[in-house]
Amino acid sequence: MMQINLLTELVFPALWILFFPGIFFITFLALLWEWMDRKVYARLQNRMGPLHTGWRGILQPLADFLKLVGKEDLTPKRADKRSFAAVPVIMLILSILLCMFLPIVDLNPAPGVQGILSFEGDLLIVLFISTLMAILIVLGGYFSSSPYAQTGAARTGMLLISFEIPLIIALITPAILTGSLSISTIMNTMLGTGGGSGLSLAYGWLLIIPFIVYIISLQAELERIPFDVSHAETEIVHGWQVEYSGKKLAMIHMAEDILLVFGAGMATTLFLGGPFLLELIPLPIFQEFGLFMASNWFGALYYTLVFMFKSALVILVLANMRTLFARWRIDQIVRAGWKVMVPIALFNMLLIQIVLNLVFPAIGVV
Amino acid sequence: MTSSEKRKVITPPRVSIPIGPQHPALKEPGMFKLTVEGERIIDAEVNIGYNHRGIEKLAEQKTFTQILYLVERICGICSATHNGNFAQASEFAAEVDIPDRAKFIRTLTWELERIHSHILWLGVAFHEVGFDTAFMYTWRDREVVMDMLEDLSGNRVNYAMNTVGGVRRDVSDDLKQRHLKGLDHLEERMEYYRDTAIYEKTFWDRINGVGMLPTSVAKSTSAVGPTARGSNVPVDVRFNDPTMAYVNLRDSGEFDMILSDRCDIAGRAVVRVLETIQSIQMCRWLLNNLPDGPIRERVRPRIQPNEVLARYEAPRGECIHYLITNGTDKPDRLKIRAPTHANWVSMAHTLRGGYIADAPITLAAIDPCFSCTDRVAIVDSKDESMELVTLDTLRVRANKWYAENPRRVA
Repeated sequence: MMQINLLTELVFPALWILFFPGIFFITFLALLWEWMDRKVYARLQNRMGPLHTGWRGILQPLADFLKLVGKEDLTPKRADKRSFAAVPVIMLILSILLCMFLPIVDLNPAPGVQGILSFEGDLLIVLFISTLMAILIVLGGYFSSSPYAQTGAARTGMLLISFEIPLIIALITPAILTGSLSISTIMNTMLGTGGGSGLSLAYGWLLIIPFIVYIISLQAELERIPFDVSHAETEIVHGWQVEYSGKKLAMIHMAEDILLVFGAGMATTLFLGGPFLLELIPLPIFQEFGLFMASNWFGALYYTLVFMFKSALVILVLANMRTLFARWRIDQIVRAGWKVMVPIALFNMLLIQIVLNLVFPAIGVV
Repeated sequence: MTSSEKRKVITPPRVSIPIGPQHPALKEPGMFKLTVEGERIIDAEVNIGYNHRGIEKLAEQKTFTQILYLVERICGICSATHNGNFAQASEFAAEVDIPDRAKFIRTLTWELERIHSHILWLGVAFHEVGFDTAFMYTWRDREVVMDMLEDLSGNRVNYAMNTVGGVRRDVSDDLKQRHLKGLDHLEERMEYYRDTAIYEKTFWDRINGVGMLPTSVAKSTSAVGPTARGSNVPVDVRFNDPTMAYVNLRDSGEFDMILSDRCDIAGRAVVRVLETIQSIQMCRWLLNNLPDGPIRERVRPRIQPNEVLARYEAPRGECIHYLITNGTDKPDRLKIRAPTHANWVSMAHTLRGGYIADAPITLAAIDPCFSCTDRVAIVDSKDESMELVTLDTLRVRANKWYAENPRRVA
């Protein structure tokens, strides 16, 4: 009879999913990134930003969330009530699910850090869910039966068809380079952290254009300035969110923050080297450091901090982009999406095929 | 191919979207009913009157000095406009000529107010198209001119600078130096915002070619102020029919009316930004050429029977105070035509055919001031009570009052 080791087979995985790199940690990161985004945005605008709740207002996102949870929850009379209530819940669940695929830390990092959920083909699932999120936004707008919300939903639809494609193309470029469709495997193969030698640095040049395309498309996907047409405050009040209040709005805001964690996390994982930093330096002492971290529980702390550091850099870039621009009109966005972003992404695919098949063999890059 | 079938054109359903009475794009209550097909605006209906306070009626029961402070409360942004223009109207009616120094100081207050009003508009315009960074920056630098106005008049918003016969506060040499310094700073910042507005592509794309108001339409709908000047209609009371120190400013030959032939929101924006820089130069000229002498002249509280029209170019356009005096210390009739009122018709024209996304910036482009326009409301002075009544009741009461009290003015 097989003995079930309660501790290692039930409690640890449960804690793993619920607490540390799981739901609790992701929520913590969401609130932290929101604070950072707001603070950087405010400082760049010569304002103070959150100030009074906690150290420099660090608890403000949490306070806002709790306040919204305690507020009255209103449903419009004409809304499709059940679907209207379901949208925020599904959004929150799906956004948390997306973050489960991010390789942050691992109990046994020797064969490479894996996400909580990781299997061959999970990149496709992630792309599918991120498209689903956008469709949920459209549904949320239409279910609430308000002209503002419907206009916002229609705009989200148009935003989607123009920026999903460059986003997808940018995200599968690393998959093409490594020949895998699993997020964790792509990262470990590129860096050589799960055994193997990793890709040569020359491949890094190929990731620059997809990275830029990804960051711009991510800004559109998260509906931030200059792509915030779908909840343009001064035009259609808050677009598709206008009828949501109380707990539902709290859930929507939390889902948006978690999507920010996911977006920054994907940039970190696929383009910036994931939770590895020092061991990527080709010196013996750093190699030993990497081995030490991989065999030790210190690793959990180190990987988390590196992951957070790199994500924070991405958030800085995103907050900067938010500061610099005015809001585009939807027709300008669609035009920019199809005339600039999609051609750049497709051209980059072509370029990568040429480089992989002709240039690299010619100059001897393995 | 189903060539025999008639080609179907599917149009999106028409939806009516209200902008207002409460809307984030509007800082004051007003209602704009947009009929849209998809993102395109088919029809626009302007519905105002949410801010009716009865100031003209109230003015008939107060003395000229009291009215100065009443009309000042018409609008928080152009308080010196109404205050100064009413003082000017009373002086015209009393047929007194005020000292030169008072004229210069009154004009200085007006021009400083224009600077703050145009910077405020620029910030609002940035905000309407989602460019919040520039909005925060412009409003930060607006504080400079607000502080200057406080330095000059003692107040940030309702300046109360003017009185019938002159101004109430003098300009000292220290204050002049402080103001010259502040003006230098403002000019540098305004040049930066001018470049930001013109060269920041995301902002320029939102205002370029949007909300077209052709010159002929601007003329036929009697647009005033920067709205008209952005459509190449040369109306500016400061140059066409100058009063106070504008006569000296015009005669100095250093200043010209700013016009743009772009006819779109970009034209209006450029006119406003360049006017701000011109206003800064005007303030500097006024301070440097400030004549000596008294700052006010005594005017009898009772003004002889007279009928005058005082015109002044407010930041938003021509502001008219029409005053009838009857020999007592109270006016017989005061009629105020604020610039925003003249611009509604042209604005409804610019909204049609645009996108919903452009509606807020098109609304904002005339720099609407609802308080200026909806001046009239309900205050019961007899038993000192306030009550809320519907518009219809108000109309019935008004009809009744006018039936019982035939108009006193022939």
